[in-house]
Amino acid sequence: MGPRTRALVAAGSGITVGIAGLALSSLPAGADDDPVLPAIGAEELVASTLAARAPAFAGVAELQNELGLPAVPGTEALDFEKVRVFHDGEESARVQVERQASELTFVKNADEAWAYDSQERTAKALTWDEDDAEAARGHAEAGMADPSQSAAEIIEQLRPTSDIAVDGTASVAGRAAYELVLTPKPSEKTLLREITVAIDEETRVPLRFDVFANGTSDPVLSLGFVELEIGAQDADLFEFTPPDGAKVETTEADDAVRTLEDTEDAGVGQRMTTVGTGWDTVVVGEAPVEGSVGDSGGDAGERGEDLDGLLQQIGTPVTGEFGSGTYVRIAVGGAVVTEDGRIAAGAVPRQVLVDALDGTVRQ
Amino acid sequence: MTALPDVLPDVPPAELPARRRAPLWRLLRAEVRWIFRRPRTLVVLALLAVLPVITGVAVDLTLNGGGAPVDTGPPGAGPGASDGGPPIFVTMAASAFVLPLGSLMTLLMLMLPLTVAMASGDALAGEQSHGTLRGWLLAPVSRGRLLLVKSAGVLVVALVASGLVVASGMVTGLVLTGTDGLVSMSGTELSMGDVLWRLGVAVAWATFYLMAIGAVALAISAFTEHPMVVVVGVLGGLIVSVVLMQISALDWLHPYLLPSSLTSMVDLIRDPVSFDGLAEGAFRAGCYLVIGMSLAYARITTKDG
Amino acid sequence: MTTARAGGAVPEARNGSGTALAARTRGLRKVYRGTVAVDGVDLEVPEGAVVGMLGPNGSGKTTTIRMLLGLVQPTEGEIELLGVPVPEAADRVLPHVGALVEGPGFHPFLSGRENLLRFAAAEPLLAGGELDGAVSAALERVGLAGAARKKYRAYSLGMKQRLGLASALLAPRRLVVLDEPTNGLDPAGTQEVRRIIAELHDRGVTVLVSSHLLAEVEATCTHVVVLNQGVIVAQGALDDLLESGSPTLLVSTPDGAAAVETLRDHRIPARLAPDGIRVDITTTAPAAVIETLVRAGARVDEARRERTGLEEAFARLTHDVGDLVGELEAEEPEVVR
Repeated sequence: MGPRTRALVAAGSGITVGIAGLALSSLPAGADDDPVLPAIGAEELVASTLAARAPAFAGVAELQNELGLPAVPGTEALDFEKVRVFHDGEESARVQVERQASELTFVKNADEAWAYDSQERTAKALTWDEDDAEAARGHAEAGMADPSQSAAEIIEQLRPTSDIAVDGTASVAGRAAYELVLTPKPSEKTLLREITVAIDEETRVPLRFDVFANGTSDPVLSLGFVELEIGAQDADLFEFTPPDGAKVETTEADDAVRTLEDTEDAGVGQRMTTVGTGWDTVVVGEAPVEGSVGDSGGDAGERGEDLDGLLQQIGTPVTGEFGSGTYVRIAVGGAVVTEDGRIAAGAVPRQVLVDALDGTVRQ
Repeated sequence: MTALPDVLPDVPPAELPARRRAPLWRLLRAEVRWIFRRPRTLVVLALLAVLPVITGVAVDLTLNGGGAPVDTGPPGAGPGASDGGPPIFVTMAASAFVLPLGSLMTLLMLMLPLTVAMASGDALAGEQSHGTLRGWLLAPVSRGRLLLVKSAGVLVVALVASGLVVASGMVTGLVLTGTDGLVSMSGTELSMGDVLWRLGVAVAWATFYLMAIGAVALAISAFTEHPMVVVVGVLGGLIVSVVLMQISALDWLHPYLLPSSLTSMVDLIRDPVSFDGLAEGAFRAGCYLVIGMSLAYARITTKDG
Repeated sequence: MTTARAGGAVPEARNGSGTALAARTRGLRKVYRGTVAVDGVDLEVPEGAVVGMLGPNGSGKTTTIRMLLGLVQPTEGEIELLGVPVPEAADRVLPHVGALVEGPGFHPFLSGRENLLRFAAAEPLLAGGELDGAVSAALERVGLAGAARKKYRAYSLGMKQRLGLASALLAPRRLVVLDEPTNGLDPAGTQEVRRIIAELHDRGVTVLVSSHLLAEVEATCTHVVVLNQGVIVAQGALDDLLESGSPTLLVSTPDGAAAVETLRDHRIPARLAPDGIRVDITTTAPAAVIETLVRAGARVDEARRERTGLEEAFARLTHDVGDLVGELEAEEPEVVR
């Protein structure tokens, strides 16, 4: 083999290696084989999950959203792809929602919680008394006093409408996990096919949450870790000092609870009713109108107008005993907004929404 | 030109001595000297150094409402002024941390790749068209070493160009805002040391990214005699990549596209820094580097000098 | 057409056979996309000789030279340069070879000196500390010491050519290959190139110089290779070539027409010349020609063997004489420019 041939062979191999590398990096991660794990019953899995304490970890979670949500103004909350989560194994956590060129950072530790928005440069703090915190902890612990009991209750509640099972294993973020599957009973009139939760075998931390709709093989909504490292985290991660130049708002926990209650009194919560049970539950209530949603005040009216225009564009007209309205469908369900300002929504087909509205009219 | 018998070299002995090569450092020094004597290189580098200054001053003026010492402007002018411009600049002002990084990211889209493409175009195609490549081949410099020296030259241009952008941005930031505003996107205040290592990583990453483009440009350069073909080729490739990146139906293709790594530079402003995106980008750049270099090597060893 | 040789410095040419060869090719062939540029070239460059490679533009001179120097991969054939195979071992031999190929190639934004320093850096035979000195010496030798710091862009055509020559002479060489070295030089520059070639020759350096100008080759070379359409049509010592070809006897006679007729009757080819006749003596001995003429009663004033000029030999060797002469005349003005 002459030097020229050698050079060409070397170059050819280089090109092959480079292209193979690119192809490799384009493969979806987590294509590992499903791990082999000891068999476990659904009840036992739920119980052990409830009993488990999250260990200290650092992870990256990704959201894949194929819900087909219309681009409604004010839903930026879902406008992210990646979340970084840090947990100290106790009560401190740090969550960073990464956006293209900005970030929402939430830091919670034993006595305060911060939310920092790099786009607005605002830092919101929530503080509480040691007593409150103690009480809250006690309350939580009481509720979870007997995990096996709680698990049994939860499963008991689900059983009439769902089949619940451990369906094999999965590898999530490189970790072995059980797949807990919730399937609606055939009698349920829902658009959902199943919901799966992947639970880490070792730590019993839920690693992934997938929602499947009828007629699709890929999840319509998937939130799960793509990376997870168990281990102690730097204590600095759970401290937050607002930077110079940021707008800082501090709220006491008591005030916050009161505000929340006020909102519920005057707002949406009070006027909501549910129709049906289990998977075909439909929520019926007043459509959000001016001033009733959130605290954004000034631009709510504007938003309401936007909403009307948008509904006309994306919805189809629907009529029934209740009158007439607009039906909007997304991958996992739909909603009917009536002309007289009511709304019915659920993970159900259109007719179930209409029936629910009709039913509330008859009452 | 009088008779100069004494300057005529003596004829070496009839036996050929053992193989000898000019030391590599001498070639590298000659190459770097040549690159930085080229007026075109100097003009482009000067432009790259000035752009962060202009950006910084513009952002500072916008944020500070003209920088008037007395607050006589109309109320509300402050927040209203922050609507324009890339969000990264607006949110964190012309600080000595964000300005250099933001400038580097912006210039990595087009200006820096074109600078590297120009250097690569001059390195082989330009030399070929001047007939100067022959001089080194005849010395002789083996074709493999020639490619090595030429790549090193492009690497130096990539490093100097990115370093210059960051240094200029940092100095501008320090002059405009002092050490204020060294804040990460996650809201943490950063020490000067923190800022410096992050900027160092940014320069290293940018250099590697640019070198991947440089390798592809060198491959084009080995196939042509016209340096402009190289610049136009790289420009075309970048534009096509960016257009393909906008088409979500082709998202299976996106991991193959070099510029899809660029956004991960933002992660250097987050705290703690997440290296996943940067590592993935570096791996992708490495693949391009290997492909480009292999193509260039194949061509340069077989082409006629 | 001058036949003066450079100051008589050129010694008698040695015959190619039995002499060590500085360069040799066997069956050299190069095909560019179906076009045969060089075909079956068996070139022999004796050590210590000054070999002129003569041929019209497009005759394959430059392609042959580029193959010799390892710049171009031959399609077929073997090359040996100073005893080692090329291009396989080109890196061993090329340090000892200086070359100026296809005109000088330099960077316009660098000075002449900077350009040379750039090339000197790549010369294996020069140590780091010798670079400056070698560049100065080379500039001095070609008469560019005064213009060393001027940008190459500002050089005249002649100065550019000289700088190219200087780059070929940066290091001590055993073989110097010059492709059209006098292209663009004024007569004084041409003389200087000739002097440099003569000096190299005096020191025992082998020189291969290509030219489409006969005068150039006649003036400087000990050996000649004539190429036409990619094929060697003649090669050998200059003196042998000058005397070879169909030998002619020039006979001065008052009655040329009658003499030609007489010779043709005896099947001896002859034709009229201005002051007599020319007789082809390839097959007939000169004595027999004179005898035939005298017997027929023709008066023979003088008879001598004609020593052909190289131009005639060259024209005879290359097949399409008309093309070649036209080419040469067309190229002529460029020399003076």
